[in-house]
Amino acid sequence: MLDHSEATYDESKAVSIKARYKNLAKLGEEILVRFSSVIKTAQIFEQNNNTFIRQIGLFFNRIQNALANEKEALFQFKKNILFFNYYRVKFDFSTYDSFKFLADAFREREIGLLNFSLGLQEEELKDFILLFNDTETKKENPFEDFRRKLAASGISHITIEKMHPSEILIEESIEEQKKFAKKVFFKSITHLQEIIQRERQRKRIKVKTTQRLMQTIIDLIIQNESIMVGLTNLKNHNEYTLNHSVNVCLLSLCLGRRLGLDKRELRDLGISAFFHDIGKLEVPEEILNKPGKLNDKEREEVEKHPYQGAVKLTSLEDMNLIPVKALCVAMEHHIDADLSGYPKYWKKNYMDIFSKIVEISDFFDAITTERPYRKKVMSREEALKLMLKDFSYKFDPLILKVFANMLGIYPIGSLVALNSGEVGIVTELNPNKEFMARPRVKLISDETGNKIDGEIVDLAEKDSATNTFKRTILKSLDPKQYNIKISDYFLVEGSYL
Amino acid sequence: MRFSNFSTLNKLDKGETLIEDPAELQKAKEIIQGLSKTFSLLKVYPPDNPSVKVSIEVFCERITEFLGEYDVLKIGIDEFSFAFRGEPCFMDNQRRKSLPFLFFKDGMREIAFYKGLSREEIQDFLKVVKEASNIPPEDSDIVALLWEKEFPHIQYVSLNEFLDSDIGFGKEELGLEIDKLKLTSDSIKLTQEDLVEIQKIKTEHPASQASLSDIPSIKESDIPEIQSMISASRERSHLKELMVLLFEMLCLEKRDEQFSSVLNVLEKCHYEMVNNKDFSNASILLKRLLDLKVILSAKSDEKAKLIERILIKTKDESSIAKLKDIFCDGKIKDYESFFQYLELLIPETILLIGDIWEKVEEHGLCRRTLSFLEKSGPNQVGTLIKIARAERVSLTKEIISIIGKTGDKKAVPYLLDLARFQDRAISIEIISALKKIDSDTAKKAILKFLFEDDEKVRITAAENLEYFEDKSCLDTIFEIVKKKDFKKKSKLEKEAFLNFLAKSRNDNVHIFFGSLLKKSNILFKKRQNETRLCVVSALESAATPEAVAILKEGTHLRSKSIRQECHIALRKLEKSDALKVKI
Repeated sequence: MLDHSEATYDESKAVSIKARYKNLAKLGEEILVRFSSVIKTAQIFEQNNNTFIRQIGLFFNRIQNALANEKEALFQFKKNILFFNYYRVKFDFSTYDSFKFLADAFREREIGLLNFSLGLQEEELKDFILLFNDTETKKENPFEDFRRKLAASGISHITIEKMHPSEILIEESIEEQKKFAKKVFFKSITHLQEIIQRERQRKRIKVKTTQRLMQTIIDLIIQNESIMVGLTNLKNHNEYTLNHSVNVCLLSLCLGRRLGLDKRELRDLGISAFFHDIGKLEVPEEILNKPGKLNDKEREEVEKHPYQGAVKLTSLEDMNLIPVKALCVAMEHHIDADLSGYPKYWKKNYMDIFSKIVEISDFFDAITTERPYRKKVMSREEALKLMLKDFSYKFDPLILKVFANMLGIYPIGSLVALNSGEVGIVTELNPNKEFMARPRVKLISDETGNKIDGEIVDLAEKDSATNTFKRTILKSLDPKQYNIKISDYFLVEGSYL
Repeated sequence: MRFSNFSTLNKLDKGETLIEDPAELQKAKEIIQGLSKTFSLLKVYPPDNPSVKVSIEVFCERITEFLGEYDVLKIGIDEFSFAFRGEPCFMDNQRRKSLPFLFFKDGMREIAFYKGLSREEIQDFLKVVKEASNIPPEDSDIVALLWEKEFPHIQYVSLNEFLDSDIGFGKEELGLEIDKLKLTSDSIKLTQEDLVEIQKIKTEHPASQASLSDIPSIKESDIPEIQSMISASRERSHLKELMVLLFEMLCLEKRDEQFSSVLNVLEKCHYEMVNNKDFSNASILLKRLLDLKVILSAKSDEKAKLIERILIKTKDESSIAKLKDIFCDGKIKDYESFFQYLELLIPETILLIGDIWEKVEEHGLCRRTLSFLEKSGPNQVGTLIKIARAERVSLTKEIISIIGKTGDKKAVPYLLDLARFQDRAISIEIISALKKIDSDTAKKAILKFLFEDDEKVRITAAENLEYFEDKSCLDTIFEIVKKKDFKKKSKLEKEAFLNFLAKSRNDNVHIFFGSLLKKSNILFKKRQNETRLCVVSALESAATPEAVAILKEGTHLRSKSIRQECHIALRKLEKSDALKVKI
């Protein structure tokens, strides 16, 4: 125990600790990127392929470097956080994919700790990577299976430990996650509805509740982004603005996370997206829902909603709890990348990144939703193609690119025909970008066309006998043509999406 | 019941109540009590206080030791108490200062510290706890603060009951009823069109995989651009961003009531900028407000008036007093912006400069303060005069100099008023300023200084005197010089007065000078002689034909010294061009 005289905090020690952490962060980040690259490469190439061999070499060098400096190279994955030598490895836009890929890989194999120790040989590392990617690993007990294989292979300088039981996503916990996510989704709609009512009655709005709600949504996105993106397939036409606002919020948060925004920024982004259309309260319903073309006066009314939304936000009693960016977003979500669109600014000559994110999410959700004035509702792929080709001038090209990569070739909720004759709905993208066209798919009809409550299959899965993919998407289908309401599959309880 | 943060799907582990190791409980108790003690100290003292430092140090050491041995420390949170494995360890039931209550009120039910916890993390954690306790309970949310910090080795369990209690309480969920059976009955028959297309794909690309070309890939070169976009957003000041947006809203808003409410927010934004000492943005705000007023004056008188009201408030007494406090506080980082801001609030801020001046020397800001006065002063003579004080000699001198540069005769009474301070330096500066004003009033005003008690002031006045239409000037000097006690004055003063007279080319002066040279007085010989020598010097400096004539007469006088001086003066005049020019 320390007494007063002993308790002097050594500042220089603190500086050296900080410097060590900084080095560790860099080293951890480098190893993380190499690690994910080598696994991805191994999924595509054979073990004697030069690319794979080169990747192994690079990964080995990084680990050797870490072992030389740190004497150990230890990865831990707990509570959705990756640690390297007990130091948290944070991700940003450049490392998000590697981080997500590795986190998924750890979770899938129920690995909580992975330790590379001194004496590690390159050949040993290669064997480990091949085992890590072994598709024959049992799904029921992946960790035990992996550990057994590891012991049998004679790999002695790489050890693993199992994830804490509370973190293992068993079927029930995934189901519980989905159930909770749906609850949060509908609670979000209710919350926005209450906000609107309270605002009309000039009552105080519970912004603290909105903050908490956003935190919960962000935590859910961190746990399972696919579930949250999937929920944006839900479209309640009677409560368009409410449902749309929540969808835009979810899409924006997923996009913001990929861009590397921190939690606080994500919360602000969520609130901003949530309130982006609040100005529409000032626009008469008959104009908003008018089936035909708007006349000049009506258009003028509609075009007021961005700044009217911003004005509304400034008039809230808890305005200090509303991020300034929410005002930006309310004002700017109809301003295009070249500053055309509406409203026209007096002096401001830039758009905030939050506005750019929400503008993309807003447009995407709007054109994929049925509205009285919209002749054709687009499927998600069609919408994405349209945004990339015909409307690219409207959006920030880089953020649109990230958005497109986030949704993938077959966005979650796409109805697809497989080469097996089965039809399915995309539920999760493949974390390996090389397999963007091989997402996870919920089978909804068998090869004869009969509707089934099928399993969720991974299209990257290969038949070990033929070394060919078991299933491949041939074509995406228009759900309307087949009278399929995608949202129903996301809503229904049980073993569905 | 739901849990947020990392434990969304975890239940509180009720099985963790069994304590096998009494030593563990004892250590946990000490840590928990140490945490509470550190919190209490932090509430009262700053973090660099020795007691606080020691307390943090002890806490860090104990918890690190504990985590090294047991890996994790989970603390149960009740309304007013902490528990370890169900065993109460600490209690404080005074809501206002209770640490358990601070956690409990926002739904936190457990906090856990894990192995790997660093000193920095502990310090950041304590900072968050302190921050939360400084905010009124109804506004603070410790869960939100901890959530955004993302402590890697500190986790908590909190209730998500707000979802049920705060949102849609008593309402049916908006969930839609789905008929699960419908999803598994019936069949999906692909359309002919789709079948043809699928067949085509199968034939043309047997190992089909949709083309990736539709999705543009993210290139290495995209990364810095996106990162710089994020950095730009992070670096932008929230207040500035708010201001920029509020102006855009004001430009667009046609409704008076809403315009007024946005304007009120802008006003608050302005005061926050001032409080934050962000005078750069506060200046931008004021300038834009002025611009907007001009634009709106043509369209809406009502809105222009609302803006005017705000502008007036920015320079009312309390606002100026606030600025003074801020300056005196000495924590302004950007003084240039501060002065630019003050310049926008002229003339009211001129009064503030007096107070600032007294402090500027220690800040080394004299030059900037002067440039403020130079910019603002010329049109605000009346206000400038108000900050002049006898005890602020240097400032008063600067003010006088600025007024002098205006050359405006209206300034003369103000300058004369400052003579009341009876300060030599100030009086001399006033004379100098008066000289710069090209008017008889100013010239006459200098005369008044000839009767000052201070000799230096009188000399300066005499030296700076100029002739003007009115004969009173010459008469006044003449009167002084003719007085018996003139000879008692110092040589310098005599010279100053006589020099002035010599330049007058006035006949009476010549006669007077002639008689003075001839005059001799046995009683006051020394002084009389000095006066006569001064006359010679004055005549030489006058260099007029009349002066030459008198000097020539002087060469025949009885006094040897006068004769000699007259000779010398004449020789000098012969050599110089001065006489030729004058003749």
